[in-house]
Amino acid sequence: MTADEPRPRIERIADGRIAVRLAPREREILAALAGELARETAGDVAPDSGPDDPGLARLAPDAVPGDAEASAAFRELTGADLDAERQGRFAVLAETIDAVYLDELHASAWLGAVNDLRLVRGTRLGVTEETGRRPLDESDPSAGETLVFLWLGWLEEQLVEALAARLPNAGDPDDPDDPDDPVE
Amino acid sequence: MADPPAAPPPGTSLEPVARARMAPAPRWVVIVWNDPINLMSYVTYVLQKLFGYSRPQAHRLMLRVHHEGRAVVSSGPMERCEHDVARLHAHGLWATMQPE
Repeated sequence: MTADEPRPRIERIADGRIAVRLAPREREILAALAGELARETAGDVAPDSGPDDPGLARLAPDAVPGDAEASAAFRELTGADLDAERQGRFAVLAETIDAVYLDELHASAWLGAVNDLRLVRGTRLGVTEETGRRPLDESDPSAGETLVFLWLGWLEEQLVEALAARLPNAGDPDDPDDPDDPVE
Repeated sequence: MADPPAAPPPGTSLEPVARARMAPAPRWVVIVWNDPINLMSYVTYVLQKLFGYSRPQAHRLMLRVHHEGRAVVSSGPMERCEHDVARLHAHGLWATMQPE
């Protein structure tokens, strides 16, 4: 970390917990976005972009490309579990939205919910690998949506870093082959 | 645990029919595809978490997905691959399966 990088707002602290230092307004926004997607994925409300919404479709890609029958059978087999797991993550996020510390399970649920939000909103926005690499064009009508998408990515990077540190196969931080080392 | 069955004497060969019956089930492969939304760090994390890859192994697979557009992340019988694809979908990765 360099001196001009801001201190992370979500990070693993010395006692092993994950500290969350988001402003109340940020928590409100995250809760509102996640609540909206929870209702859309549960089928309680129709997505803004209509029934053939590519954003929601992104959450369940065809498992066997070129074989519509096999892909439909796969959805039949796995769809209910996938939906239940997703709603469980949104429920945990809603319950812990004001938490100052998260444990592994809660932080995993936050990560899954934030990733779902990015997948759905990013697909609807039509983001590319260039999104976020060039300056935002403020006259673009989707500039606000793009900012939300980038903000979610910033949150997600911090959640991933905090959670990856505690994986059993996290690796040795002093390993010279560690891919996170700046030398490629 | 029961004792393992005695090995057949050297030189024993199976009849063709028996050999055909013992042919292994077709193997499948699970592929993760590149997409412009999932973060590189997130893809690495998911591959470590779901498959137990070491961090450098997961990082190399993620880079293959990123640069070549796709990478095989697991293989095996169909049921096993269905399970892997379902777990990958639950984590938001764009995963498919196909016969090897």
